[in-house]
Amino acid sequence: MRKTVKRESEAPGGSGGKREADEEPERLRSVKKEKQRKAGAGFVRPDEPPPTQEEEQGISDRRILRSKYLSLQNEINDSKDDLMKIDSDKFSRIINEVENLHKQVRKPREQIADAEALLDIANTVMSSVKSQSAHGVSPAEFVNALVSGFGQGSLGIDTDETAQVSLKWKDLGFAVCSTVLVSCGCSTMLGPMDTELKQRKRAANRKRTKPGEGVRPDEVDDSQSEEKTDTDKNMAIMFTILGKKRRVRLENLVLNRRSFAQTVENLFALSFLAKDGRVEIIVDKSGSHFALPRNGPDAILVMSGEVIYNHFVFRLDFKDWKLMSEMVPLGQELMPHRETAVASSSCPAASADFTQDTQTTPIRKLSRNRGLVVQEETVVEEETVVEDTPDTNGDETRRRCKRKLT
Amino acid sequence: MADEEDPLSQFDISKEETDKLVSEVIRFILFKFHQSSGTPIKREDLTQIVTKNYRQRNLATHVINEAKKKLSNVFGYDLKELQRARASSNGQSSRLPLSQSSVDSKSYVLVSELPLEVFRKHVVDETTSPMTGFTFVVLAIVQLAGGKIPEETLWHHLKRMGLHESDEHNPVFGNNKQTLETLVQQRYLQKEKVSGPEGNTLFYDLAERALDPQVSEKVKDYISQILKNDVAVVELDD
Repeated sequence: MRKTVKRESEAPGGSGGKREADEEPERLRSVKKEKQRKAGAGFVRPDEPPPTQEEEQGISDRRILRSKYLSLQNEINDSKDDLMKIDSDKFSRIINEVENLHKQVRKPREQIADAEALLDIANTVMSSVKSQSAHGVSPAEFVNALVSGFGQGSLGIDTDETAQVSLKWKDLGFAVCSTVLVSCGCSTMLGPMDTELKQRKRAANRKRTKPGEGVRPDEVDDSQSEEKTDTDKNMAIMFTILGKKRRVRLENLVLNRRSFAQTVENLFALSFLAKDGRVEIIVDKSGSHFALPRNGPDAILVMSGEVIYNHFVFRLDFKDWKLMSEMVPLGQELMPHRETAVASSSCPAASADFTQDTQTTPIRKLSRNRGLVVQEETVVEEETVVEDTPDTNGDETRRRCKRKLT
Repeated sequence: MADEEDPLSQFDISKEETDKLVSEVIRFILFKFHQSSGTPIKREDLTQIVTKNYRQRNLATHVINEAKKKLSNVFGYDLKELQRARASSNGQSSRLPLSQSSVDSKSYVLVSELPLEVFRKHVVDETTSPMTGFTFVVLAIVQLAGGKIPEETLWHHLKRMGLHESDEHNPVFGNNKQTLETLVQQRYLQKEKVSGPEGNTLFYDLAERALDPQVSEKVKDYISQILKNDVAVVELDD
């Protein structure tokens, strides 16, 4: 049963490719018919499964069979060139060998080898037929002619292998020289006519300096790092205000009507005061927050663990600030407004009165309206800082600041 | 003469400008062809020389035609046009619209117009003959194999003539593989990957330069000559 199925699948591929050649299909068809007859014979005994026979075909037998198939494949490969010669019986030998091996095939693995051998031989014959029908000469014959015409004798010393031949390429090239096979061109000087030969640069020796005394840079006065940060200053201001007023509403303490940014900074400073324990935030019955000053705890208390940190979250965003500014009556803000050194570039650089509470770094900004604007002093107009806040960029940065509080 | 008036009337540029363009194109062709050892020159490169400074349509074609005439008159070279017809069996090339493929893929080679004896006597020199021989042999093999040959088979034949695929120090050709690559670059051969049941095999088939009737006829002539010689030698031995 298996045999018939396999042969049928093989046949269309085999005969399909042979439409050009005349002799080939007949040979293959005859082979195929033989096999079908045998399969038919095999078909007669369906009820007598020969299990003993199959079991007997052991692994070693199958290996031998496969190796025979392999050697057959190699033989097909090697005899590619002489397969179609009229006086060569190689083809019939190979086909007979395939047939013999096929009789011994029982298992699928060998079936594959069998099918491959048939495929190989079919391909070989087909390619040689193709070339024959085109020109009547196979490439192998042509090469033979070339070698005999232009060969130069053996180079190799081994006598076992086929003699190494090298062609006399120059003579061959001369014999077949034709204008179409040679690529021509002007092998003249390629380049502009006035190129001058570049003189080699004389290698200049670096002057060797003897190692002398080392350089001793000035020590930078490091007292600047000890200056108080802005936050510290704000904390100090806030604490003094608290000290004066004693009990204040949180909104009044923190809000800066003109700047959302500064409101957040105030809240930041307040949070540090709360962390240090110097301010107390309470909520009264009506829900309003109050801030009260107090002394920070002693170091001993902190060390002993009686005093510990607690966290709470104060959320403040832009809308809250707007609400806050509505709630707090005008003039009730307690923290002073801090003038900053940043000037927006869209405003003309009109110098107004400036208050500096921090050391300003000179800022060179390119003004879009005029040329290079050098600002070495704080230049602020009242309106500019307010403009700073409503733009969305300001929001982002403030929001980032806010997160530090939690 | 009608030719001289044409540039002015057609393209609105003076004769001197056309001459200048033509000479630039000729110069480019001559040096590029030699420099690239026979690789065909793309039409795009030539038209670029013209369209860099001028916008008129068809000016490029006119300039190239003029250049062709001049090359033939002055240098004895025939500027052959090759059409890169990539008609692969998979039919993949059919994806390109016809107009686009015809415009983009023209290339030019220079072929000497000298009669054969003169060519042989004065132009051919020893350093290039081996390459000629190699070109001929490979083309002949591929042609005899039906126009298409798998890579292994080609090297199998070359091995019989003393050229091994892995040999990088051949006294005549240097790197054998590279020499074959040169043929591909010169558009005598083209590579084609075919995925078969056993995996991918590389096929060499004749490219546009070799499919030109001039070339294929010559190759056939030489093949028959060699076979005749061989037969004659055999007969003499007998």
